[in-house]
Amino acid sequence: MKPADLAEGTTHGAERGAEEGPRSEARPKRQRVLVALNGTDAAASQAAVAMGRLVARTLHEPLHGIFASEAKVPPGELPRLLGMPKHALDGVVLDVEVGDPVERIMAFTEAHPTAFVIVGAESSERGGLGVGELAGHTIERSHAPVIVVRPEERLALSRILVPLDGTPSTASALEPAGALARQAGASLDIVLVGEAQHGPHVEPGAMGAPQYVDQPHHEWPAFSAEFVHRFAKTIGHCPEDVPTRFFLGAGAPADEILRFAETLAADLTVLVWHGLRREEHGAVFERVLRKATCPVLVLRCP
Amino acid sequence: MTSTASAEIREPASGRSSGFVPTSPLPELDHLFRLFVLSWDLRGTSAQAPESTRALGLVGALLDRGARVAIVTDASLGELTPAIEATLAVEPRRRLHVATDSGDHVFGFDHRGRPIEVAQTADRGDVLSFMMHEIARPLGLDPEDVLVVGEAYGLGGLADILEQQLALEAELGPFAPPRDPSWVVVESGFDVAREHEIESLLTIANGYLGMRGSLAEGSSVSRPATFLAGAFEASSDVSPVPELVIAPDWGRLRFTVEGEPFGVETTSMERHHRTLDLRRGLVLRDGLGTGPGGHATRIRTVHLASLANRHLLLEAVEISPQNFSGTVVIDAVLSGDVKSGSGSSHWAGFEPRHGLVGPILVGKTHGGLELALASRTTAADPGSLEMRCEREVGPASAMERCTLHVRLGEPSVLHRVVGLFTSRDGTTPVQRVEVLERQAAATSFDALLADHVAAWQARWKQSDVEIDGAPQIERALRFALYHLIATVQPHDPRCSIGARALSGEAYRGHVFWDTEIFMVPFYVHTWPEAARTLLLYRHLTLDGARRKAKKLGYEGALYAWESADTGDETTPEFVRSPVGEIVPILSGLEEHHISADVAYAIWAYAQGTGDERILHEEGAEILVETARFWVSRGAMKVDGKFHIDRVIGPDEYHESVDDNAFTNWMARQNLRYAAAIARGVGNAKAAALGVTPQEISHWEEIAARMYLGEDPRTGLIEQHKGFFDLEYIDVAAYSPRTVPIDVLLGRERTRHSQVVKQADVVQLLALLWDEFSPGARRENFLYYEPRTAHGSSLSPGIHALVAARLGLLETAVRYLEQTASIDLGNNMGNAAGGVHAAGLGSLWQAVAFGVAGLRTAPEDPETLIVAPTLLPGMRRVSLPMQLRGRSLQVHALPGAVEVHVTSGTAPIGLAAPDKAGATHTVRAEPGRAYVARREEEGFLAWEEIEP
Repeated sequence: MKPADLAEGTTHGAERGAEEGPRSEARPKRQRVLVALNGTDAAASQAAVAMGRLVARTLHEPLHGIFASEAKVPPGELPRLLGMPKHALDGVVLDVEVGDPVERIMAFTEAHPTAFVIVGAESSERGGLGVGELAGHTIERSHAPVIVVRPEERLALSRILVPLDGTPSTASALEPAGALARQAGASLDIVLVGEAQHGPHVEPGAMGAPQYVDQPHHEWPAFSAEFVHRFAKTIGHCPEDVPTRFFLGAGAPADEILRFAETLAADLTVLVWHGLRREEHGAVFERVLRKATCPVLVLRCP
Repeated sequence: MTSTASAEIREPASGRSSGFVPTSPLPELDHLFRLFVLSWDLRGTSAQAPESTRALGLVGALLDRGARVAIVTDASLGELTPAIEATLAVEPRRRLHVATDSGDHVFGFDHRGRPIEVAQTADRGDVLSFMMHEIARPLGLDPEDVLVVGEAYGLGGLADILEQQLALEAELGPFAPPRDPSWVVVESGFDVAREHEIESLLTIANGYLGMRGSLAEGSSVSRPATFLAGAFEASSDVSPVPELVIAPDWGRLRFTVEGEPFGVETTSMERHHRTLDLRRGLVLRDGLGTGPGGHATRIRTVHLASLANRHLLLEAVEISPQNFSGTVVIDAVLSGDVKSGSGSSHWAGFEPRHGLVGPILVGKTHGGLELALASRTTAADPGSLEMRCEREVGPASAMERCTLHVRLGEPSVLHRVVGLFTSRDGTTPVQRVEVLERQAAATSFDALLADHVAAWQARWKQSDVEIDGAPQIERALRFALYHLIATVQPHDPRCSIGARALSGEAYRGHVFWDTEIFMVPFYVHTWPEAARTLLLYRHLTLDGARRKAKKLGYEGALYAWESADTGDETTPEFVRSPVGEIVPILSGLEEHHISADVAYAIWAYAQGTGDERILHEEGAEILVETARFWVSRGAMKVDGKFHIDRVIGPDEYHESVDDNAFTNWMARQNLRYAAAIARGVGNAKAAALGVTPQEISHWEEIAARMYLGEDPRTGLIEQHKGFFDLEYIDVAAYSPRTVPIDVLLGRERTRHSQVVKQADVVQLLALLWDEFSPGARRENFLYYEPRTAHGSSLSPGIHALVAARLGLLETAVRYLEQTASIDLGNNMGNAAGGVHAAGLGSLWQAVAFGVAGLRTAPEDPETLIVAPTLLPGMRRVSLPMQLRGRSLQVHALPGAVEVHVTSGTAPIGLAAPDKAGATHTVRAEPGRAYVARREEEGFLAWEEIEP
């Protein structure tokens, strides 16, 4: 399977977007890819649509675009309103609604199985998470996976970076990332960051870098294999046929994740978030989200 | 998944108040309790009255089986003591507490069975609180393990309850879990994240083979493996190295209940416990679960690798339908579908056969090793069981499929006896395994089990260490000794012990200095025969060591840093680190202290056992060849000293260093030992090897002129040339950390710093204690300890040992606890690839040589120096010790040390340091016991006491 990429993509996934025929239990369940169209930031919307097309094509799922405002807007007016070329939204199933954009996005994801919500980061960096209010609030409230993309970012799905903290609870959120990697033919780069002045996690089944490395040429391969098996495969349910590499970082976790993302030329960084911002894990999450130079997939810890 | 039901017993409604909280009904007596708190109401009768005597006898039976019992009575100690002394033996009394005078005083019993007050309490409720906090909690007992019986039952009712408990245990037979929590490792539930490390911890082994404690029916994460000790095949790495052969999986049992598979991932498990029974050397499993069809089934199993006959593997299964009568199918499989962790299939092919008593799986490895594995499954009581077994063979498997008609509430028990021989045992493994199966068929399963348990009892008698007051350390030590006993093959010098014993695939079964320096001392003093065999492995691989020395341009013998079956070097030259670097591995090229370590172990073995035979022949050859290596390895320089350049010491953070102190000091010892042997008992062998008087003199001269790195001004030993000039880094500032410090600092900064990976100079202190003055020992420890990051599992135990000897109590406790948790700490994932065998050996050394302070006198190996230092919380450390043909029992107590010479044919010297730094000595006669009482910082003269 080849990696998914904009340059070589096919379009049948998006064109098959509208569901066909009556609902039937026998039909496979479809999941939607939802792009949040932001009326206040045209570049963010365009980036989200581009990423949405890539993801929908990769998953062979329909691409939906949702736009909500205080006043009703005719769907045909959307490209102009969003500052996009006339045909920029061709192939996107449009949901134009009245109301609060975040509320409508949440209502959509609750009403329809949603593989990913894709939202562009605003240039203003307003909002507490530093990616603009629409993206920030969507991340905070969505239980569906959210991809945040910046306008300037290169879009591809060949290399997916998955930082883990070595706890089963974090790894248990990984399944959508593994499924996306499999569909995209992407490889997974698992990163664990160790640090000083920090004790091991107390969660049962947690695993940090080995405290004892009696012989590095034996210990590191054994540890890497065990870590990937335990967290990516067994708990994270990442498919066996997805190429996976393991890396160990050391130092400030957020900076190390960002460094690995750059060094490994990651196309997507996956962050598992517990939903809290003020504790240590939340601080790492927020910093990576703010500083990432590639799209970020946010998975909520169950 | 585990039951958390309370275990207290309801009192009759009309009963008198006891102060205990009644919570649950009597039916919960259907499991075995581990701690009993018993109201002992004499009601005007004497403690010798028949009713009391009967109850006390039952208490004794429970104590014998490992239970902890607290008797709470209105009576005084004086009233109760005669009955206790008349009824209870001395050993089981150690698990007894008596709260007298309605709970005002709590007494335990010492190693001589004498009462000692351990707490003052206010009332009965206080006693219960004491027992829960001081006994149950440290031992890891759950509430369901504790039975509190109020006084309303009277002694008659109490005795009935105790009798019921004993009857239940008898009914469970081999499936009964041990009552003594200090002899078990229990894993409850099923956690995919921890399964690999649990498999390592629950390994069963007998030195001939080891099997990871995988679930018999398997799971999505199970990694079963049976390792054949000493047998190697090529790995599937890019650069293949020898790795332990993975034998066909013999322990596989599949259960199908009314057509549905029974397993932890397919069955809704209400209860699931796996227990490593350290005392009996077996693994128990107790699973109660309901399948998708609603059939509730309880399955208990026993698995063991016989220590009495190392070719025998035993399994027992008990199936109890809880809500149905129907059909259960058990597949007992011998499967050749196995691969190593490197992905290698070691087996070229299999020939499954129908044997005379059961199926046989015959296989041959690519390297030509032949194996025959036979299985026989039978009903425990054929007359009471409707069962038929059919044999099936596949291309690489052989199986017995046993179909049972099971009845509601009635346990059905099956026994399985598996035999295993390979061509390493002789030329006809198939015939031998058939003979074994026929012999086993003529013997009851209970008898085979009893032989195994007896073999373990014999080992524990020589090995067990009791630490009163530190139950977690005591249990960790038993866990350590279990694996050390289980992993050694005492009769086959082709086998040594790999870094992860026989419990995991990490380190591929390769043998390091871990064996000689960290494990052999345990065997020298508890199982000399095993120690000798391990050292003979180094003689068998001496040619490999000669080849390595020659390859690198040296004389004599340089042992492989990583050794397998031939003794040739198997260390790879590069590794890709997890931070993405390609890192050269220099230990195979530069870590040369291994040759001196082997020499040291031979000398220490001979000193500790008095076995001079080894010095006449094999030991002499090793000492000569290793001495020759050191002569060629270093050079005399202009300072008139002998220097050894470009080596790696135990501190592997610093590679290619000159004059590593550990290496030089140990090389000096090697040369001294060689000279002594060549001039003494090994002179004939030395002469046969071409050793001349001039060569011996040369060894002596080099030893005398060895550069030792001592700073005469400070007394410090420089770890290697230039170490003192390196950057000082405060290791404590990086603690705690979730990654080794060399990863945090980076390789370059680490090697240019004073950060030490593991005990190096401190290791030297531990090994050559008497070479250093008291001041030098202390100064060096205080200098190097804060610089040591303990990036190796070999390090904390040695620090505990030295800290205890130096009287640095808190430091010793900290390192002892760290050592005890290397494998048993459950949030590090450390043990997934196998247990840390050297760490296990170092835990024993820390207690025996550190806390108990035992070592042979440097000038007189016939004298044992006894200088114990009990650590905070410890009330007593008792351990057996073999020394030069005598068996000793040492009891380190708060105010004294007792030594009992339990067997031997000649006296042995005992020496205890007095407060002035001199020693009190006594010639201790076999069969007699001696005590040296502590006075301030030293001991008074030895006195003979009653044994």
